[in-house]
Amino acid sequence: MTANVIQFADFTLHPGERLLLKQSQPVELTSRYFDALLLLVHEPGTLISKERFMREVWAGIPVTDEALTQCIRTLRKVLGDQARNSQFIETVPKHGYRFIAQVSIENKAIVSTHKHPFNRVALLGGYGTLGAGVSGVIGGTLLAALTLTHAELTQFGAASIMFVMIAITLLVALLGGAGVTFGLAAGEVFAEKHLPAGRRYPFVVLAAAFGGLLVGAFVKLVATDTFNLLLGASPGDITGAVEGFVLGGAVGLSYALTRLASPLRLALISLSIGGLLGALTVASGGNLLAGSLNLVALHVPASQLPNPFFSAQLELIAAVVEGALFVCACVVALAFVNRPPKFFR
Amino acid sequence: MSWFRVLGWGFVLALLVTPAIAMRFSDEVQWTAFDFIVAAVLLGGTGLFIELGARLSTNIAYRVGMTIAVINCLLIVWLNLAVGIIGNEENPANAMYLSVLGLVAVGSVVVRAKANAMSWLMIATAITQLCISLAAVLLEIPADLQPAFFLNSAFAILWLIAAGLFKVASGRYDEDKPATQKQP
Repeated sequence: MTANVIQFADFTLHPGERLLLKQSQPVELTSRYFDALLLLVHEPGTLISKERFMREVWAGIPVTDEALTQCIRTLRKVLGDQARNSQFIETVPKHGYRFIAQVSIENKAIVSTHKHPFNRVALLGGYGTLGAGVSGVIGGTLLAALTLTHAELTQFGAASIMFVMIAITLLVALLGGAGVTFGLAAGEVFAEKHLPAGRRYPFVVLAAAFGGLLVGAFVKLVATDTFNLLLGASPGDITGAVEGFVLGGAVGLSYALTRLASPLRLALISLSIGGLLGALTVASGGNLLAGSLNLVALHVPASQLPNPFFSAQLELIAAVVEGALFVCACVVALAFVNRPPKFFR
Repeated sequence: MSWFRVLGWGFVLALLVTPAIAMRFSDEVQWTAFDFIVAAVLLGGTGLFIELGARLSTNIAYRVGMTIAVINCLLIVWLNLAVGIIGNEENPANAMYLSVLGLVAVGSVVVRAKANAMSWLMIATAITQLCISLAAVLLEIPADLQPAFFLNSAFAILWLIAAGLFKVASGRYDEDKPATQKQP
């Protein structure tokens, strides 16, 4: 199949694929900035007025001139252009911008740089799962340390308690991470194909949240039934669909907000969102892992956990840590798919 | 030496040293020498296997897939030693999990850990894992099987995730595909 591609200098623009390539390497651009570049490149040598940008790129949404200035600044940076002596985008003061480079339009076969969607889903989901697993190991270790402060429990063998705690937390985190990140990945692949630019990320957030909901509901169902069967009592309202939905949403939201952010900002934003939503979940009556253990201690005497396992303050702190760890680990892992850091190789 | 390795091994060391320190200051933490040996073997072994797996390829997807596969093996061993997946840890039915571990270990060597073959091996492992649920029912094992059903399904999902990553690493989906999107 062939399609029109636009070439200038060592850049290639695939309008249909929404892809900008520099020497056949994809260059990342937000959807809006891509539209702005497309508008400029489609009419080389013509003055594109600020009003036209506002109308066609921002679709009439009221934004300040600063938004357009920032957009052009970003495009120049991506193209390696300067405001003065520009090769590509010339400023026409007070009026607009003009694309001044030589542009050629060719009808040629698309060399796929977009990999098959399978790759994207398998990578985002796979990395996300492992990332969540890392948070599970850390969380499980903290939990094990807290457990071992209860003298009653050490009779079971300290090492065995540590391993069981870490194993359970690791497994739940791996599953939760898988649900959330595969939901997110499938949502993103679907959104990029079928949804207009503005609605993509809200949809991705929702898809991640539903992934979390599914796993949460599944784990709760099994855990409740297992407790009932094995120990003859139900722990009650342990972590389930709602908590999964909130944590999944937190991962989706952090991912959407930090796609183009620096690593430090990415970590800070995801830690805050995760911690905040973790705290809100517990404050509004939900239960994360620490809260669930409390419920087990309360309702399932046969579990031999001391009651209460955690004080209320400790449960809140634990929720902040759980939420922050899980969300941050997932989002960092997902970021590795989009921009593999050098030290990873 | 990458950050990941420093962090990983640092974590293993911290896990082993912390209880040793805690024992000096508190009577409530009491690890026997046996506890330490088991912990060291399990954690160190996992670390070594992840290292080995990562050495086989520089492809990141391959390494992540391998790490998930090693963690799966670890969790199976761990849960079986500690509480037993079917019934309790003394239930002989748990020996069925040796087939999963054996398949992964022998299979990886036989296919020489090649990415595409590994992805098929992971799929086969997932199926084997699910077959244990079936076998447990057919053999009418006298134990509550629900936790085992759940864990087998969970592990099967994780094996399939590893399979997906190996598939990506094998580049099977990288051939030029004609664009399917329409012109604007």
